[in-house]
Order: sequence, then structure tokens, then C-alpha cells
Amino acid sequence: MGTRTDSRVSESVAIIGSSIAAIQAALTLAQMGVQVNLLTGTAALGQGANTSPLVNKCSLNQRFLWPLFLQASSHPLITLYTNAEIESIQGTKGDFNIQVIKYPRYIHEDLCTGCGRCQVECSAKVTSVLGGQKVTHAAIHTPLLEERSVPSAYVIDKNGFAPCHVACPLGINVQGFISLLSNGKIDRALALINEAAPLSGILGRVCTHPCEDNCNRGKVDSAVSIRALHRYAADNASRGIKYSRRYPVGSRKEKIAIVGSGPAGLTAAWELTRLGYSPTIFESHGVIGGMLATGIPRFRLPREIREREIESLTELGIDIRTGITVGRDVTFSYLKERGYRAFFLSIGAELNNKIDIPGEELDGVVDCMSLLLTLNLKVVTFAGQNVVAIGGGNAAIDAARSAVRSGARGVTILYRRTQAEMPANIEEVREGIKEGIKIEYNTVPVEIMGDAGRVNRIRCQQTRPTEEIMEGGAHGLEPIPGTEFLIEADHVVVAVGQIPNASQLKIENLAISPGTSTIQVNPLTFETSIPGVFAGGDCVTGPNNVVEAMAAGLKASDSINRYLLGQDMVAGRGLEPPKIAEIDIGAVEVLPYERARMPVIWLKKRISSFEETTTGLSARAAQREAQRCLNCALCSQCMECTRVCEMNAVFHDDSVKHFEIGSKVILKFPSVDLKSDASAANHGKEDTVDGIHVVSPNGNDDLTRQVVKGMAVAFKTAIEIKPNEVEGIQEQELLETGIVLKHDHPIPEETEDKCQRIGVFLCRCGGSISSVIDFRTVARKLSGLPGVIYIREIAQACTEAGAREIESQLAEWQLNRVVLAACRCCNLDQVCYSCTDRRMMCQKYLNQYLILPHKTIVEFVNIREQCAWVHKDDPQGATRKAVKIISSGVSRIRLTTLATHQNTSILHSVIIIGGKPTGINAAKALASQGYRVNYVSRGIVKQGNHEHSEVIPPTPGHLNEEEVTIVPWPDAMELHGTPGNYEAVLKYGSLFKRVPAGAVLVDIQELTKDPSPLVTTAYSGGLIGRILSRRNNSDDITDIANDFLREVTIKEASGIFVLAHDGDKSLQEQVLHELALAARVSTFLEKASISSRATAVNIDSKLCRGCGDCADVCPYIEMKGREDGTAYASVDKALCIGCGACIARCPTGAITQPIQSDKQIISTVHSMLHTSKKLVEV
Amino acid sequence: MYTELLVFACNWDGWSCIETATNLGLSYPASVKVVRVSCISRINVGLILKAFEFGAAGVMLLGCEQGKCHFGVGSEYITREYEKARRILNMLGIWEGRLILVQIPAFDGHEFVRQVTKLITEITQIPSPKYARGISPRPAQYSKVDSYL
Repeated sequence: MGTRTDSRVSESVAIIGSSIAAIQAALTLAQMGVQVNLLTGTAALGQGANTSPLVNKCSLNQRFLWPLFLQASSHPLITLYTNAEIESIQGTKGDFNIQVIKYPRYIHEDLCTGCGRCQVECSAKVTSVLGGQKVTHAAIHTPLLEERSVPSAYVIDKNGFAPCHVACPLGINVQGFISLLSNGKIDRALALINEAAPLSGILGRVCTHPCEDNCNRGKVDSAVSIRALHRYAADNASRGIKYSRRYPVGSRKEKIAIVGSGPAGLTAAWELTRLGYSPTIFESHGVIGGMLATGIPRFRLPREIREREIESLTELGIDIRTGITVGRDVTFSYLKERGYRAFFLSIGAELNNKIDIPGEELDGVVDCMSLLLTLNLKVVTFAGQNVVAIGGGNAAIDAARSAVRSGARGVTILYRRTQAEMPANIEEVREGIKEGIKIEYNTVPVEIMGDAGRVNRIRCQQTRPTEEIMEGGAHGLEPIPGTEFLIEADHVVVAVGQIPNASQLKIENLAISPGTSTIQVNPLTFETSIPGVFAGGDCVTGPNNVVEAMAAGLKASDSINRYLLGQDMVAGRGLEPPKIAEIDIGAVEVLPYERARMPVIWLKKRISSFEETTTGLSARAAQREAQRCLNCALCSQCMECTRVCEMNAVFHDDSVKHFEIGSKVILKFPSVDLKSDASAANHGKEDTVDGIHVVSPNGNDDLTRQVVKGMAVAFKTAIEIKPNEVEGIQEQELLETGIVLKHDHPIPEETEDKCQRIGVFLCRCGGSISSVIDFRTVARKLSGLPGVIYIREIAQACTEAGAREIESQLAEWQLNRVVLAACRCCNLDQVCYSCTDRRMMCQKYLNQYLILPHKTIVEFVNIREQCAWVHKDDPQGATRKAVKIISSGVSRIRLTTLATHQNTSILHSVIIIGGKPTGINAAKALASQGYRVNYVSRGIVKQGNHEHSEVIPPTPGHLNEEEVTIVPWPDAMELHGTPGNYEAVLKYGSLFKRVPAGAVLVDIQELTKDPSPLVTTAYSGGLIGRILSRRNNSDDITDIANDFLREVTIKEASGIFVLAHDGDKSLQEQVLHELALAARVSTFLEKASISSRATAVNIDSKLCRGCGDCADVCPYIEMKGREDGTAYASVDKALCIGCGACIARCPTGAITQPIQSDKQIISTVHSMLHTSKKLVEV
Repeated sequence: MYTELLVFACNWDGWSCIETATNLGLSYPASVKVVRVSCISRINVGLILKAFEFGAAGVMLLGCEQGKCHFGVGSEYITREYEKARRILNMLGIWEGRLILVQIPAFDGHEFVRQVTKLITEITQIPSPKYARGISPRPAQYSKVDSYL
């Protein structure tokens, strides 16, 4: 027996693939003691392969494949990497270095229990193709949608970033809040928006919506009305505006001064306050808000809304001081002396430009800023007949519409270019036109004319564009000769642009651009020419809009924070924009809802007052509008899943990971879909690079073929990497790594009742169980049960943390028995059709922390699938049922006795009973692994095309150099013994030859067609016959024989294998089958020992009256004779598979089971039914 | 007055039907209590009668179809026990329809729920002796014992 070397890495095999063959190969290799790294490119095993069992719904296949997948994913020697592909391979055979790339799942595989609460809350709907049909599901979902999977952890579908999200200067997660609104979660939507930016009520009314301009729905019909939805969230959140903090109040002591309480200043203050500072805003006006108060008219942004938003900011703790003009009332140097260390200048642009035409100084000519200020803050009636506004920006339109509402009879706008070139919001222009404003395009004023110092006319001129391009990209203008005309005007509003009043600040060395009077800043950090002084908003860009100013405030506050912390101001900023989701517009299927219309007050009413023109979407309209969103990025990152997952299994920060693994050999199992070249014609292995084997799939590979292929490949690989050495790890080692759950250790204390100290643990399963079953009631009802010392709820039992939590209570309360009420159903070493990967993990960790170190007896009861999940709509009934289920577990654990331990080691030799060349390959393969092989054959005749046949003379004991001992066909044969320790007694005339063997391979056809007594003694009635009669107990030709199935599920190990063959198989297939068989035999022989299973029955021969009913039902039971002629039944415990059918038949009660005894079943039944108020002695 | 149903389910095909029912999102009443055994042939008349003794209104034996037993045990054994138990129930004056044997393929959650629902319906429709005047399915010869279940 070889020893394990220290570096496991070099002994491993890397298997890439997700097909059945790949998984079977991994499991076989692991069972032979080889460490395996299994990489599947999919999120779950079996996904994507054409012959995936989960596409193939045959029930038998499911019965075999499900335990196979579970065994593979939980075997201690197999490391499973999902969503993993090979990037590159270096090195040579025996020492490969593989670069692996693993795509994000966004969910911790070892924490997710598949409870599904995230899926219920997920706002985004995604469409996928499942089995040829389109299915709509949540963005967070089980990997196989409608099927269970291994691993069972959920996945999130993502597709980059939504274009609206990327377009927003503030970084608001637009798709996120829209998906929340589509589910009616208004408060959460507003909270999500407010993670990124404040002032939602304002943005929802006046933002210039770059998001809508990039909305993909706009390519289908019309963009989602995002600004209206933003307003809807702001106006309808039931709990009002509550900003969250990132750092506690006052955690940062540095003083920061912000000059100007416009959007830039307010946002900077908001962000800095959230970071823990306490900035102070100095505002020169008496009102707070800058342009929001003085520039934007009240019918677009009502005063109440503005005050509401500002109040939410002051509630956060922002200090705003009005009536203080920095530069005049306090100086910059004074503030510095007072300890202000950083400054943000957001003074906006409030000085109006002049047109520089004659007549500008006449009475009745006003600049629009003053006009808007007046109209916003006071009520003024315009007596004007003809108001003319000059300019094409928002200021001009706002002034014009305000004039309309103040009683002006005729309002005209003069703009020097075309409508398409007007910088004002097109929606405002349209509304203005509806309200009666006339717009003269391509018109410039030449002279303002007046009478007695008062304006009464303007002389205007039409213009047209010239060839010349001016700076800024627009064409120059030239007057069209002969097109002068006059307009009547008694008020003229000059709205041709604004500039900031930077010099008022009186800050020395502040760099200001001469032409535009704007403050110069570093475009990335927003720092001015003076360190520690930052600027943003209109005073830097010239007149712009609210959202850009707010964005500047956000970025500047980041700079200020870095500046005050002494951190690098540039690192990590100005990066490339994130990947924008691309969708195929042609493939999009949408409900044909049109874009919602924003309701407006009817015309006559709106032009007579300053009441808000638009009234906001209704609830129904908002929800429908939100549902128009195409979910471009799939998962919208609304974070609802993160919020509800109590296991903290969701992490949206998951990213692509790169890592390296080493391996000796690489096996690739491409799935049928990926096959591109002509190598599809071959089956079996083909080598391209030495050490990298590509196992080509075959289109018509059924389940058996795939399994056989997997095992054969595994066997050949095992030979390759450990030639001539049988290097397995002892099962003892495996025991120590904790995969075996056996009750074969003596209980430390006595089994009397008073010494049983039972602890009951209730698993919350992340809320999915505890939200249905009331644990308090359960604990109260269970506390009266005898033997129960301690009851406790735990968060999640199937993790290492959970097992350690239970372990920590063992010592404190001296518990020696534990009942765990979670999802695991049994405490046996088996994997049944219903098991899940979480149950396997629970077993693994409890083995490691409880059973092996402390020898605790554990009983599991399932209150998840059997109770909480299926009775969700009846929590009281579920609670009552849970009490019963758990108390039945308590009653069972009180009666659990342990099996007497029977360990026998296995002989490393094999006897093959066959006659055709079919067994030769298996013989050779096993011999090459170092086992002694005895081949009992009839004598083989050389056949022309079979290269593996030899002519053997019929003399006993002929050895050939391959360690296969050829044994001639006997006259009679008997097989005795126990699994792993068989002895074949071969009779030649009067000679007996005894051949010991650990495993026996039998060619049934060969054996049964012989008319000699060989048949009766060896087969029917004999040991071989009895064991093999369980192999196929039906007339169906089932794909996987029952005995193989039991090998995978309950690890049945009888050591007797069948050499099946049929003439239809090609030689290559036959070889594969035999290699697969050799793999199975090798796995069996590699076990450290055979021991009886916990459920093995015990037949008390003193009680047995020899009726033989048990032997009727089970061929493993033998009837033996005593000297006095009576018979009694007897079973080899190593063979007994624990079904208990014999117990039901036994009339005297001679047969018992230590687990699942009659007493345990009866007490379980009693606990489950309503008459049981307490445990009763049965 | 139906109260509870006891299901003896085999660990393999039977349990898979019950688990599949949950995985498919189906539901059955919480009055259904399930006892898991390794093979349905582990159950004999004595255990079935114990269930009725402890107050089960109905008992379902949920196992595999003939030929599909994980342990290779034929279903004739449980069928015999089931029929014996039915005859004994009849003798005791209990309507034998309270005991059923359900042999369905693995993973058939729908059929399990259907069988449970059908059994509960049939049991609840058994009239109590006061009102039973020749109303089927339970003829008047059934004793008061039956009405206590």
C-alpha cells in the first residue's frame, strides 16, 4: 500500500464538464482515492448537457442520477467549481498548471439554503428559454428554474448596467427604483434613490432626465417616464423622506464651509453630513435653495415641495445660515481663521448678461433673474399688454410663462435661432406655446426704442446662419438684409445668459476664466487653484441644470473627504464607464402600454395662477408606467433579496475570479452542443495533448453508456497516475475527515433514562421555517418531554457555524443526544432520491464537530419540506405538526441502541468466473492495479479478430506474466464467506482448490448454461445466486441494475459483481464496460473495511422457530440446521441492507433492528397522532 | 369527525413523492402525518392496527410499484398485510376504506396529494351512526368504534 504524499495538488485530476460521464468519472476517481477538481461551466451539475437527466425525465434516471450528483458534490476528495472555465493550461502531463476563470453567481453557494424568500421579493422579471418555451421568472432564481439542482444555491442573472443608471449624473439606480415601483414598493424605491442623491421632489419635477434620453424602451415605442416616476416616489412615500447615514453624527470634526445653498451646495452638504461631518452653508439670500427658490418658477416647483425637501435636509442636521454673503459679510480669510479647513463654492450664476444694444437702460427693461426672483417670492400683477422676452434658454421660457400667469396679455419670445436649437427644455417650450406664448425664431433685437424713458417698441431683425462655425460649435449668424420689423413691447425681459458673481467672494488667487467669469477647477477633483477650495455647479460650468449641479456637489464632497483624510484625490475616479447592458430590441416582447401622460391642470386655470401645472401620476398609472421598463440589466440591484436573506448569502459585489489549480491529468468532457468538428464520429477517448484527454460525447449516449464511459475513463486515468501501485487512502482517514455517519461506537454512558440528556435544536432556516412554525410554542410543548434538557433555536444548521453552535452547547449542558429539527430526515449513511446538498452539508459538519469528536447520538427530523414549507398557509397546523414530529424524534432517540460493531478487512484479490474473452479485460485491468486475479475459465480458443484471446492448456495453476492466474474450469464449485472475504472451493475430481477472494466477478450466462452440478452448487441456492437474485427483480429492462443503484445510494457492498455481456456490443464498448466494472471492483476493494450498517438486522436464533418466512422475502437470509434437526434463520450482517421486510414477517419477534425497531415505529406513530399528549411507554 | 391521517411512507419512492409535492408548491392539510420507514414491507398488520389504536382516522401505505423496490422486495408482501389488515378492521367494525395502499411511481407529487385528498374526503363523508340510515359507503353494521376514529 503506497503512502500519500504531502502535496495533494500533484496527485489530482482536473475534470471539466457537466455531463453525467464527467460527474461519474469524478466520483469514481475520488472513490479510488484520487483528489479531483471538478469544473463545470454551468451553475449546477448536469445543466446544459444534452443528455442531462434533468431534461430527461425518466424516473429511473432521476433515481440514479440524483444520488450520483449529491455524492459527487459532497465527496471530501472532490472540489466542485461551478461557473468555472479553463482560461489556459501550462505545463506537461503530471504537472499541469490551469488558470481558471470563475463567473460570478452573486450568491454564496455554501450559505444559500434554497428557501426562496429572495425570489418572492425580487422586483425584476426576466425571460428565459426553458425546454423550447419562454418562461418569465425573477432575476434571482434556482439554476434550473423549475427543477431542483446540485448545488441548490440560487443564481442572479445580470447583464451589465442599465443605460439609465449609467446616464444619470448622480448615479441613481434607476432600473432599481423603477422595478421596486412596479411592485408597489414606494418607500423602498425612495430609499434606494436616496442612497445616491437627495432632493427627489425637486428632481422629479425639474430634472432634465438624461436617463429618459438613454432609455431602451424609447427604441421600442417611447421612453419610460422616469422623471414622473421619480416624482411619484418622492410625493407618495408613506413615511416621508428619511435619509440614511453612513457614519454617525459628529464623527468627523473638521469644519467645512459651503458657499451657496443651491442644488450643488445642498447636495455637497448632504453627502458630507452623511459621511459624518457637520458642514455649514452660507447663503446670501433670505431663502434657501439658490436657483430652486429664485430662478425656477413656482408653477414648476412649488414652494411647499422645496420647503419639504429642505426640511428633510435640515432634519439630517445640515446647518444653513441665510443672509450671509461670503466676501462681504464674512471674508474668506475670516472663515479660515475660524477653523474652516475646506470650502465648497457653489454660488451659481446669477448675474444677468446684457445684450449690449441701445435702449437697454430704458424703464421696463428688466433682467430675467430679477423678474423671476420677484415673481417667485412675491405676488405681482403685471399690467403689461406686451411682454417680450429675449433669449431661448430655460430662463426665458420661465420668465415668459411667469409673465402669462401674472396677467400679461401678450407674451412673445425672441430667439435668434431655430426651435430645434433652443437650449430650453422642449417640454417647457411646448407648454409655453399652449399657454399662448408666441415665439419668433431666427430673430434678434437690434434696438430697444422708447418714449419718455419707457420702452414701447423693439426693432428686430431676422437672421440666418453663416458658414462660419464659432466656438461652442454653433454656426455664426448674419442678419438678413431687408427683414427688419418692429414689435410692440411695454416690458422687455433680457434672458441671454448668466454669469457667476465670483469676484464678490474676494478670494485671492482664485482662478477665474476671463470670458465666462466661471471658476476654473480640475475636472476630476473639482479643486480650484487654491488647495482645499473646491467649486461646482453653475459657477463652474455656466448656466446648466439642477442634476449636473447636484452631481458636481457629490463629486466635490468626495474630493473634500479625501482632502481632509489626506487620501489621494484622483485614485479610482474618472474610470471608464461600466459595461452598459445591450439588449436585442427586435426580440423584446412588451405589453403595448403607451407612455403615461403627466396630468396637467386645465389651461384656463393654469394660466391664471402660480399653482403647480402638473399634478403627478396616479398610483395605477405609476405602477403601469414602471412595468413598461424593459429591465435591461436583468437584476436591477434593488437589494430586496439582500434585505430578506437572513443567511446573508447574497452579495452583489461578486465578480469574475481568476485562480490556479494544479493537476496531473486533465479530463475534458465537452457536451454535445459544443461539438464542432468531425471528431464527433469517435467514441471513447482521444488524446490531443499528452495528459489532456478529451472524451467526446456521442449523440445517442444513454444513461448507461455515459455512466460506463465515465467509470472507464476514470479507471484508465487512475492507472495512468498511479501505475502499479495501489494507493488508496484508508477509510479511517475518511472517517477522520468526517463523511461517515455510523453508529458503531459505544455510548459513553449507560442507556438508562436518567442518563440520557437530550438537546433539541430548532433550525430557523433563515426565516423560512421560523416564519411559519412558532418556535416558542414548540419549545414550550417540548419542554415537558422526559430526557429533554435543553431546547434552542439556531439560525442555520447546515453550515460550519451552525454545527459549532450546537457543539458549544454540548459541553455546557452535558448533552449526549441531540435532536435536530431542520431539513435532514435521517441519520444514516445513505443518499436517497429526496436528499439535498444542504442535508449533506449538515451531515458533514455534524460528523466533524459532534459525532466523531463527542460520539453524540443525533436524530434528525424534517420540519422544512415536511412541515413549514408545505403548510405555509396553515401556520397553526404546522406548529402543532412540528411539535409532533419533533417529539417523535425525541421518542426515537430515547430508544436508539447501537449496532454491535463488525469490521472485517478486505482481501485484495479477485476471482473471475467466466469463460469468454469478455472477462479478460477486466482481469487485466485489475491485475494492473496490483490485485491478485484468479480467472476461472473453460479454456479459450483463439479467435481470429479478438486480439485478447489466448490458448490456455487445461492444467491447473498456469501463470502468465500479467499476474492473472488462469484456473481451469472445475467440476463443482462452492462459494462461502462474507463480503470481502470470500472463499471459492473448486473441485477437480477428488482435489479441492481453495481460492480466497475479496471480490467475485461472475459471468452469469456462462455459469447458468452449464448443465453440470456447478450450477446448483455455485449459483442457485448458493451464495452467489442468493446475492445476485436481488439484482433485477422485475421484468423491465431497466437501465441501471438495482445493485448498482444501491451502491450509489446506500453504499451496498456485497463484493459480487456481474460480468454482463451481450453480443451486440462492439469490441470497444465491451472494453469500456469491463473497465467500468474494474472501476467498481477497485472501489470496493479500496475500502478499508467492511462493516455492518446501522440498520442491519439481528436474528436471535434462540427465538427463531425456523418457519422460513423471513428467508422467503430476503434471499440474503439463510436457513441453517441445528444438530437436533431444527432450523433457524441467519443473516450475514455485512450483507444485510436494512430494509426490515424480514422483521414484518417474523412471527416470534426474533428479528430486530437497532434503528427503526418496532418500539421506535410504534412510539413514532403514537407521537404523531392527536391522542398523544406525552410520550408513553410502549 | 376526521382528525388525522397517518401515512407510512417508504424512504425511497414514497418519500420522494411527498418531497416532490412540496417542491412543486402543492399543499396538503397539516392533519396528514407521515412516518418514514426504510421499505413499506417493514409494515405489518400489527403496526397498522397500532395506528388506528392511537387514533388515526385513516392510514395510507405509500410505497413503490411492483418491481421498483429499491431493496428488491416484491410488493406481494405488503399487499398481503394490507388485505389482512383490512379484513381485521372490517371484523372490528371499522370501515376498511380507512386503510389504503398507494403504489405510485417515484416523484409523483400530484398523485400523492390527490390520494390524500381523496382519502380525507371519503373519511369525512362517512356519516356518524346517528345519521347513518343505509347511507353508503358505510353500511349500518359498522360499529360505534368506527365513529370514534
